[in-house]
Amino acid sequence: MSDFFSAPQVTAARETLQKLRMCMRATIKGKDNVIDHVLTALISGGHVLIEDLPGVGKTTLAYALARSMDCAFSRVQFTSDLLPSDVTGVAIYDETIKEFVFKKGPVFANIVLADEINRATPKTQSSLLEVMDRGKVTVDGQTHAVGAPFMVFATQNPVDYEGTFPLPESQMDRFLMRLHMGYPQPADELEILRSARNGYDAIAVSSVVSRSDILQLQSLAGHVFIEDSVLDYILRLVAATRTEAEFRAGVSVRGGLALKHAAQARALLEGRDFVVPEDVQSLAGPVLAHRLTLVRPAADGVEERRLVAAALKRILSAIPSPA
Amino acid sequence: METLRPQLNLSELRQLRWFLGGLIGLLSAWTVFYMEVDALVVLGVITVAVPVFTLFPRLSIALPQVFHLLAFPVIVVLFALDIWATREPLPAMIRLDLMLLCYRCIAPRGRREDLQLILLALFVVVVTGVFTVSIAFVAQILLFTGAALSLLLAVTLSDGRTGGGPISPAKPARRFLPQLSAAPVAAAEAGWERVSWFELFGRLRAVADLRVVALGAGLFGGVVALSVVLFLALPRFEISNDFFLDRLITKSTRTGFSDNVTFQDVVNIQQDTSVALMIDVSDPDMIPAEPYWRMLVLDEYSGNGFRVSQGLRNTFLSSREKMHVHTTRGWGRNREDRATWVMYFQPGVSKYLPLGGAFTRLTFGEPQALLQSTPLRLAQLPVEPAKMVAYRVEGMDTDGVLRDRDFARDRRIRVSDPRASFMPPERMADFGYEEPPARDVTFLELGLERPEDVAQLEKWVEELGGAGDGGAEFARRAATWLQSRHSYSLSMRLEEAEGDPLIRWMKSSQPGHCELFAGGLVMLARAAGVPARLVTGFKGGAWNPVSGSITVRNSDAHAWTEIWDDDMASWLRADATPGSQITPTPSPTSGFRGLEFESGWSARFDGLRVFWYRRIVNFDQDSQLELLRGTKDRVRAMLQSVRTAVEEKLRAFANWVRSPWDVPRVAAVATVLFGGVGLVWFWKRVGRAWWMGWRSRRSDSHRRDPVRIEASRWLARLERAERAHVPVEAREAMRAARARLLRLRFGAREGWPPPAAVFRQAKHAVRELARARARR
Repeated sequence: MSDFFSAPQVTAARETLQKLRMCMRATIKGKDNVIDHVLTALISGGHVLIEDLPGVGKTTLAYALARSMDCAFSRVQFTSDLLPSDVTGVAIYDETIKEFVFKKGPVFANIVLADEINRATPKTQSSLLEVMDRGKVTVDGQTHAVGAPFMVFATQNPVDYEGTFPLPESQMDRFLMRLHMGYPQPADELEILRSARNGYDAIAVSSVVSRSDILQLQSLAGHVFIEDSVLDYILRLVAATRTEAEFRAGVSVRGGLALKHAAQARALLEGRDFVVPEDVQSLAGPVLAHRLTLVRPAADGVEERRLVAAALKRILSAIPSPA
Repeated sequence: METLRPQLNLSELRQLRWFLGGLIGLLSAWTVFYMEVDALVVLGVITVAVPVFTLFPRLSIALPQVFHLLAFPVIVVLFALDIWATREPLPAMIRLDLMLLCYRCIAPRGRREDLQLILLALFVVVVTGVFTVSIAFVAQILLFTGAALSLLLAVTLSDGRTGGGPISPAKPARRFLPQLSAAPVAAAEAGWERVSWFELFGRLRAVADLRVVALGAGLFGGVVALSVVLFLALPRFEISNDFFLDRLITKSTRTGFSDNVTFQDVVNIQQDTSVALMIDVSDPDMIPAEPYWRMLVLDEYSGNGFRVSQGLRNTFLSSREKMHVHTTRGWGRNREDRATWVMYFQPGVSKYLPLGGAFTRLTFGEPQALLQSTPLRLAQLPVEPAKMVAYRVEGMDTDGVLRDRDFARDRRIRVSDPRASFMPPERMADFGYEEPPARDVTFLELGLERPEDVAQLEKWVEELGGAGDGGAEFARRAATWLQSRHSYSLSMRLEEAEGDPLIRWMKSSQPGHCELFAGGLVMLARAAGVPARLVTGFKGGAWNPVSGSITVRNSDAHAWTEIWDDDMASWLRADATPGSQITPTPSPTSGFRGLEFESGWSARFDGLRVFWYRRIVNFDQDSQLELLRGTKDRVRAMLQSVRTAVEEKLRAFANWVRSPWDVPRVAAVATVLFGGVGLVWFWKRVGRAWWMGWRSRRSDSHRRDPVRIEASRWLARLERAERAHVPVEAREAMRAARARLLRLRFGAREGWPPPAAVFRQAKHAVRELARARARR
């Protein structure tokens, strides 16, 4: 069966995404690039790890996304005493009906913000693994599906490592992208200061797309065409990370697949039904960087991010893109 | 368009290096076959062991440690014994090198050992290169160079994989066995000895980028071509004769052209069909009908053959060799013909140079030590050459008549004064002679021990009517008589009996070979008082139409007689062997058409060999000038013919234009013009798109899809155009063109817009941009 789909489908997808994009841009000022990446992750069904300092709009971003598409949003503040059941839910005995009833945890939402994920114990962190991977929670032998679409926004502080449990590589690999918000531009920040908004609960966003629209977009993204030479290009990039002396280990096969899916989603976001090398290039950093570990550990997260980004940039410039 | 190339891993690179090392070892060791170095044992071991160890590297790993510990001391001891026993340093060094090479090929190798292997192999190849001029060696050295470069590349790639670190340690734990110091490298190469060659070469084919291979081959070919150009253009000089190495290798005679020829020797040579001599003639029409190539004159009958007597050696063969002869003058009759004969004399035949007869000038390509016998018309090298010798002969007599005034004078004295034959040399002056006149005695000695045999000979001479009417006439009668009694055969069966074998054969009716006929004629002539001698050399040859040269093989070896004729005052060739002309006819030349023609692959190969000798081996300054002149003349002639053709066409066109233009003619021209324009238009609008679409549908790979390739070209062009400022009015057109081109380049085929329209749109966009820029 051909992967090709019709022009009206592409046009409709572009319009939907454009509405979503404009809606989010109205709420999050000066972060167009981050918004595009988040939308890309959403369409490709991935999860996002946002590494940044507190107070730069991470929660607002997740909340605005949830509200824009009429989705359930929940937030979990990860702390060292947080239990897995606090995340996934717990079965409690109901006296009235004389049996155990499953009380859903905060993970049963469409957009879940796992704030400061590295402050929780590895056990709690790993409770997110299954749900991130399969979109399902298993408690007492019972499997419960979470909402669809489902997207985890995890955040962590790249500087303050005191009392944290760094995410294991296996869990890092399950995030499609690692993003950085960064401080807004002065003009954008002035606009934020002018607004009377206080906290994300005060954000009044009306939904512009439905959940079914998002599911349809996710299904469409998988059919975006990738020409062989672009696949070759992805493979070369991934292979280069495996032979690069600065990295302890290269990108996994899952990482390569993630880059492919993200590139397909970005193509759809740009209103194309085919991937161009530029899609791959623009996503290589966000998709691959957090999957790479340096041979010589850096002083902190920011330094490590910088070194990995430099090595990736070198690889990107060394490998010729398909012309 | 980029494609992904998988890379060979360290283990595969190690296997490749192992294979290339074995190949280099074999290729270089086998070059020793071109030299006369006695190294058959080592060569045999290499020929068996190296392929086996190369194909099964596990054997190499399994070699016990004691083998590595003992190998070097044993090799050194063998070398010392070799030197002590043979006293020949170079062959011993070559054998030493072969032993080391053999060890290096079968013992495990790291990077350092690979480089040692290349050096050892290079030594053998360079030494062989000094000695040999074989064309097969050229192919071998080209292959060797390619393999050595590939090995170096594989070593470099291995270094690249290990980050430039050593593959083998500086101080290995086991002294003679290279170890892998870096643990990751050892892990990466672990199990390399379990090799599946089929899979390895499959992988090699998969990783080989054809463009890189083509580039490498192109560069290699370029270097070879440059070397050829340099070879052709540089001033000529010859070092081999001054090079000491060739004197360190002595060569033994393989065939029987020596000073002592026993019956059956020439027949033995005839069994060998290899090439003995190649002859390049400037004028093929000067080739005689029956060419004879004289090499050696033998006078003394020994009872079982003929040999050069001591008297002949003292009297006629110069004992003092001339050193560094480049050109020597001969005794030719300075005939009008300007034919030059370039002889390429193969090694292993004889030290006597084949010649047609007397000559005016003999020139070597390089200065040469030479012994020359003026009376016998012979030229001899001091030792049998170890490599091909090329020499040019001018004014060569090929008519079988050798004039000898001195001999004629001596003979007149002896015939008029029989005492002169027996007088001691020191008393010559007493009889009024300045020098010994008895030099023909050696050509009259019968050398028969039994008087009965002598009597038998005299009886036959009497039957033949004596030699009163001259040597030539007697030779004809005697040869006819011999041919009437014996037929020709290479095998001769003479029953054991008392008496001289030659006389017994003459008495019988057994068939015989050329030496017997020639010997019989010599005996009959001498018994009749006519000086006669046996000559060995080659008769005939075959014409090679590929190279335009004569090929003389060892199977053309022959023996014949030279008989003295007083009237002509000459030695006259007389060939008593059946099937030959007994004495030469007055107009003996018939050109190359009189010879047999060679055909088939062997003729092509021989032709190639002659070309090799002509243009490469024997390429002296004259040849260089000749080639340059020839090239210049050919280029001139080509340019002239092109110019003439163009002028002719232009004239014809002018005439055609000038001729009257009537309506049908105008209509015809207009039809052709419009038809042509229409065809071009149709091709651009429809044909090209259809052709591209057809090829695109047929292409099984994205890489070969012509539409994608064309789109890629246009995208690159647009990108170049957009590097400078793009005016606002042109931006939209550029953006739209780019978007559609991107769809053609990277999109699914089903969603393609019409390619031809997209390319037109891109063309318009580029033009629009140029116009917008011009307007500003």
